[in-house]
Amino acid sequence: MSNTAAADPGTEAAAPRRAVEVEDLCVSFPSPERGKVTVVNEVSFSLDRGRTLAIVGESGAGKSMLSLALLGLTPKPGWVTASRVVVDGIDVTTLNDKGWSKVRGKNISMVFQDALSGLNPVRSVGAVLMEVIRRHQGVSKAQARQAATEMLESVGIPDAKTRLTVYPHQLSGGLRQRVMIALALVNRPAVLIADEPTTALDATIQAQILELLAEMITDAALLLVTHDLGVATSISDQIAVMYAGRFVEFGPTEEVLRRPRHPYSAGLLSAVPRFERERRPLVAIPGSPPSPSEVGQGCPFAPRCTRVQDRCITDRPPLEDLEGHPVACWNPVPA
Amino acid sequence: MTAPLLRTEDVVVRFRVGRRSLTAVDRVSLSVPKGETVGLVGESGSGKTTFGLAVMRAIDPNHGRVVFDGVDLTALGERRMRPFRRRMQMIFQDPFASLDPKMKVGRIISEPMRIHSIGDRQEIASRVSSLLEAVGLPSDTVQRYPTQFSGGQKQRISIARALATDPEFLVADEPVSALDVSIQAQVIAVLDQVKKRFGLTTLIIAHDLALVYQVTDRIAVMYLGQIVEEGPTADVVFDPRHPYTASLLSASPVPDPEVERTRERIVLRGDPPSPISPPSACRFHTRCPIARPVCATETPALVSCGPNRTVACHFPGELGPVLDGR
Repeated sequence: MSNTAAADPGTEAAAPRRAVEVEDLCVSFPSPERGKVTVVNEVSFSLDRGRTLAIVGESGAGKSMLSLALLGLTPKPGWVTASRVVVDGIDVTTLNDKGWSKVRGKNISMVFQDALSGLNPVRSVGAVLMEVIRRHQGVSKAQARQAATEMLESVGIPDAKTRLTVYPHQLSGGLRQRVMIALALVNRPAVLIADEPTTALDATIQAQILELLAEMITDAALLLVTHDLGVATSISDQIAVMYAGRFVEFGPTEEVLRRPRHPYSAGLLSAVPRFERERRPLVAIPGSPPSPSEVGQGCPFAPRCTRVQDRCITDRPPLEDLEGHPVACWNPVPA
Repeated sequence: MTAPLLRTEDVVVRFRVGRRSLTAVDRVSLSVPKGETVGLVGESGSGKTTFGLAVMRAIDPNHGRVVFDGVDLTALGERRMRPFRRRMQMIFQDPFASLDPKMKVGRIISEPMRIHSIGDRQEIASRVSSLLEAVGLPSDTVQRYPTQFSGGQKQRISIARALATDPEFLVADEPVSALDVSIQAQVIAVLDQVKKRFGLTTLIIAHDLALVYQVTDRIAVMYLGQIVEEGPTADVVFDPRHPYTASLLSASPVPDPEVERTRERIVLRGDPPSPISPPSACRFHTRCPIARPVCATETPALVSCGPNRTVACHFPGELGPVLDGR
């Protein structure tokens, strides 16, 4: 293995603080009527190790497509364009499949919603873990076995040594998700993408997994993709609200939750039930999210927005700094 | 508390699993007062859906009574059950699976009326259009197929179908959990409107405590087939007496940084045990943060612990409250 190029994923240099940098990332699919449909549009952000960014949005907002793009897993015939995507110091925009296989699982990894489909059903937990370790670390089988056992212990799997031989279906949903987290973190990636990691789990197990994620993510950047604003609140430093493929509001979690400026963020927050002594009726957002092929030239939220103006129909508002954090709106909610 | 429209007494439902038997619902007694909404809360495997099906007599309980408007339904044969089927309806979690994709919406909504021989063609048509209006769908919906609608619209169609026979009692099993956040609030509002308009009594089955808090008058919490706590909604949420209720409340994240930062988080260890071989005595004792030896040897009875509320715990109230509910 060559050790000359800075982009070599095998280089053991001091880990850069900046874990991921994305500029103007788009994911598009060919469309018979429109030539192409863009499902992720002009997304830019950067994230340091030890920080958590929650990407919040509803189904079809493009959150999962964004995650897959960052992992080099955009499903065919889709394609990614970006002016810059740097993961752990590596420019990934030019990587081919072989290049990606060195980066994925080592510099960036992922935890999926459904651990049963994320794990290979015919291979034991230990075999999969050891393979991932050996692929990226070049250690002996015995060393890999030791590392796998330690990793399972650190994610709170009781009796880790004997669990190496079990298959995914023999584990409960909570334990499977712990195995997924072990698998994702075993090579100490700079970036962990967790796509709805607790959505399939019961409340008490969700609490365990969120606690575990918070504990384990001390040295990696966590990109948490979720539809659940409560989950995002409990674990993130920053929130990006995504609608119709774009970030429409992006800022520190407390600020976005306390003073949402985009009408969609504000709408989502008032649609969620909470525990307040004075029960207020939930305020629904009328209509439903657009499919990517329906998005016109104006603000994609305009058809559902209570603050809509003429301009919103014709011009798309850019994501611009608004007293503290970026918001894409011509008529933002007053602070 | 007004007289119950529906009450169950010691309902038991068992399933055979291979050679063993699984008690999904274990001696559940619950009352749903007329005109009120009761929420049944629990995690997967707690037996809440099975209980809902037993209430509808979609499953026959192995033991116990289901009393609707003073009549024990479990004693009725299918023929005498029919008038009651008309008076009780159910909506399900998955509107994609519960609507026949090959039937036009008009036919889906009117089917219960045809089954129960309610009204002639004209009456059926006019009832369908008034139901569509009640759930906020345009009248041309009748000519279309379910696949042409979004999840939220499909759930509105399910609600319209459930209301077709003019029922008094509605069981809603996870009515919004398959829907997006912005759509959930729409469907909750529709449920609330039709409840008032048609004078419904409702049993809502859900895992989302914040949602159940929002829409119910009373809450019952289930764990491994049994009710562990029951009472007026605000009392249960802000002053939980059972440690499982307190843990569930503390595990429900809400989008409020203040609450998330200040509340006491109780994280339960381990997984819920299998209902095939539930723990002895108090079933929660294997995960309970305040369990003591007695909890593994003596079953706590569901007893009164304040006005209109009950709890099954040897040490009630020791672990709550967890929310201050500003």
